[in-house]
Amino acid sequence: MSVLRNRHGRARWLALVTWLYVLWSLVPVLVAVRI
Amino acid sequence: MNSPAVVQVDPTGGRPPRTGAWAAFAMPGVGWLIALFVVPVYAVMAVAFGSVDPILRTPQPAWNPLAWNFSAMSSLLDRVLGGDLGKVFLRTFAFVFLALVGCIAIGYPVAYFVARKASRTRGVLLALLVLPFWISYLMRMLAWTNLLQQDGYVNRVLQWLQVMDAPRNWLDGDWPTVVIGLVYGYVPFFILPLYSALERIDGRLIEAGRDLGASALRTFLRITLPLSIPGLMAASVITILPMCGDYYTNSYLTSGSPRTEMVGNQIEYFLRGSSQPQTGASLVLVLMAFLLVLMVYYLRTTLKAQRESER
Repeated sequence: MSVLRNRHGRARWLALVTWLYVLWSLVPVLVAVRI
Repeated sequence: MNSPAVVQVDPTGGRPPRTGAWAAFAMPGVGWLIALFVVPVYAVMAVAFGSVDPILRTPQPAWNPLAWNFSAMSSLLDRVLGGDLGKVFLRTFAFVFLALVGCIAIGYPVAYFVARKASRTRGVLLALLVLPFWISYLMRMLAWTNLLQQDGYVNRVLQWLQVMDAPRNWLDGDWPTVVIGLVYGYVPFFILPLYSALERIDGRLIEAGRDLGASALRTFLRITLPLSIPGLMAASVITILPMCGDYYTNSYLTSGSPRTEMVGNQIEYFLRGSSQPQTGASLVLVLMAFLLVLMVYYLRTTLKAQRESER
């Protein structure tokens, strides 16, 4: 659990949510057009 | 050492401002609005309050307001307030509400991160957030249609992960599919105005909150969140308005199933799929009236907040 412990105030979960959203927004289209 | 004197320069040179010249800059916008909003809305009203050719079933617009006939609107309102169309309106508002909750849950953290936390990656993330705008909404819905088919990637991945034993038909008229489709389609429109509002918040206010001993959560709840409310409302209005009239999300993701039919689908049906253009035009006006109430509330709240911030 030490990885999840956020001692330096860095917004890790916010970064995770943001990158997951970016993947979710783009991957379906990329898969559909078979890139 | 004496500091140089600050000279206040009056940009008008003492002359009264010529508002007429500045107002002229608004003319293209006003002309655009008249040609592409006022005239089309009047045409819809002329069709709604006109008549229908008894043989060809084509609309006969009544351009003279004195000749308007309100019988079609009256019978439509009966259907909206207590009949079959009332259920469609309630379903539409429920879908839009759930989709808005989804947009807030996904869009707020993303906008907050890009605006306030991402420093090195901000440029890349902004480009990636804008990227969905380059792809047509229909194309994005068709992509999901492809993925959600019985032999599509969603079923294959879920079966591979052993979440499901047999493939599920996601496109047979389930409401979660429509809500997820609405969230997917409109969340980029939600994120950008919210990002803009969050990015404008003065960082010194947040620093002051932290310096005065407030925790990160308390600083967010007492400073960032209240200051982002106008942006949150603008983003909500920008997404709610098109979602209420959306028809192709349901058409593509559930093949227009009656179980998930929205107001936009009914309008499309009356105007294109049946010979009831008057009913379709009346439904457009009823939907516009509902959305007008929302817009008036938004404008009143925004103006009130603006006046309070100027005090």
